[in-house]
Amino acid sequence: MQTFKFFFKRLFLVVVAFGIALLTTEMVIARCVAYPPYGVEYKALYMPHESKWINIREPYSRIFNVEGKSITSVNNLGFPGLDIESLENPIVILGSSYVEAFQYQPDEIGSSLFWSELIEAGYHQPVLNLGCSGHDPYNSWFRIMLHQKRLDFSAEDVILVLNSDNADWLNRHSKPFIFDKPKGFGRKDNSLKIRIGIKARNASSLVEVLYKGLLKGDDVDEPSPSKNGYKELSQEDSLEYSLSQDMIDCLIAYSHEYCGFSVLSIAGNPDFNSALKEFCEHQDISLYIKPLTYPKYMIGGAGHLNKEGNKALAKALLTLWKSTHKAM
Amino acid sequence: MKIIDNVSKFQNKHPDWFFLIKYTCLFTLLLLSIASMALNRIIATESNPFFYANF
Repeated sequence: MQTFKFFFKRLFLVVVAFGIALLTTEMVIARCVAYPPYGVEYKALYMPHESKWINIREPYSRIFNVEGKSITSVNNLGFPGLDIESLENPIVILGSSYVEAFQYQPDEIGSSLFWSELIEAGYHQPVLNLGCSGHDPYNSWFRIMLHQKRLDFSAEDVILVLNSDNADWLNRHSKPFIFDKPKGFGRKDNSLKIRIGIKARNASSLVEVLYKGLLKGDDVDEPSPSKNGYKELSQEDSLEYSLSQDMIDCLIAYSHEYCGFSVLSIAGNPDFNSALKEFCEHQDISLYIKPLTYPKYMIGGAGHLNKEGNKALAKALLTLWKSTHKAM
Repeated sequence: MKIIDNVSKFQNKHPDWFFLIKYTCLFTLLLLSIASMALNRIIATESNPFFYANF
């Protein structure tokens, strides 16, 4: 009996010790390392035909960014950039992680600098940054549709920022492209596993670190662009370079859906840019080309846009905006 | 030596407290080392400039 009691007492102490250790480690990760918890409200189905879910972020949730060596945050609506009070007739900027720019604080990124310049010019349309990591124009099509439905706003002015020809990225999708809202569009993932996972990761920085570092592994949806975000073309390819049909389909869909649709190419690929220019002229789509995928504008010479790159992006957005709104 | 003596004295006087503190330290070290390993993996993966998140 005595041994039994001793064993349970020790077992209880081990459990208490483990609990204290968990709390201590959580404190170290959350306070000393300052690693933020997940910060996701729920997952929504936005490309049902490809079973792709998107994270809907909590307002002001923080993001740990290795490349920018910073902890940044999203705005009051869960998007990158400055707070948005009203979504009345917004200027929506679509693009990849170059537009999302989680490497810097919300007021330092291209879309926010662009908005500040618009305000200075006396123009008060809100700027909504819908850039998202790994998003090509086809993903972005569903991203804007989802948020229009979720936040109940309509957009006319949409700027699509292209940082490459997106060929590898567009190739990830099943063909032919479907631009209608498929069945189940915008549905929340209510499965028990996902709900428990999100709650645990939102509640604890330690759980988030362990999940991301040990469980998630390398299952990233990574395209394979070459060093500057586009494939080097041989001389022969260069002579016959034309826009991919996928890109053409996307651009046509956007121009039909949004009357104020325009394109900003920051890609450093001259062949892609000239093909894009020719196409946009033919389709009467506003286009501005400002190549920014050069080492001078990139973090460490090869990453996302640095501060100078973000300033240049803001300037390019403003130039494009002014060219499409000559009354300004 | 004095520290070891004091620790031994504490262990003899309060064996349960000593047990709790010992295991708390051990578990904390274990969890911290696992967390550092995970953090190191995150940093190594995301410091690749062509890292794109799995949206």
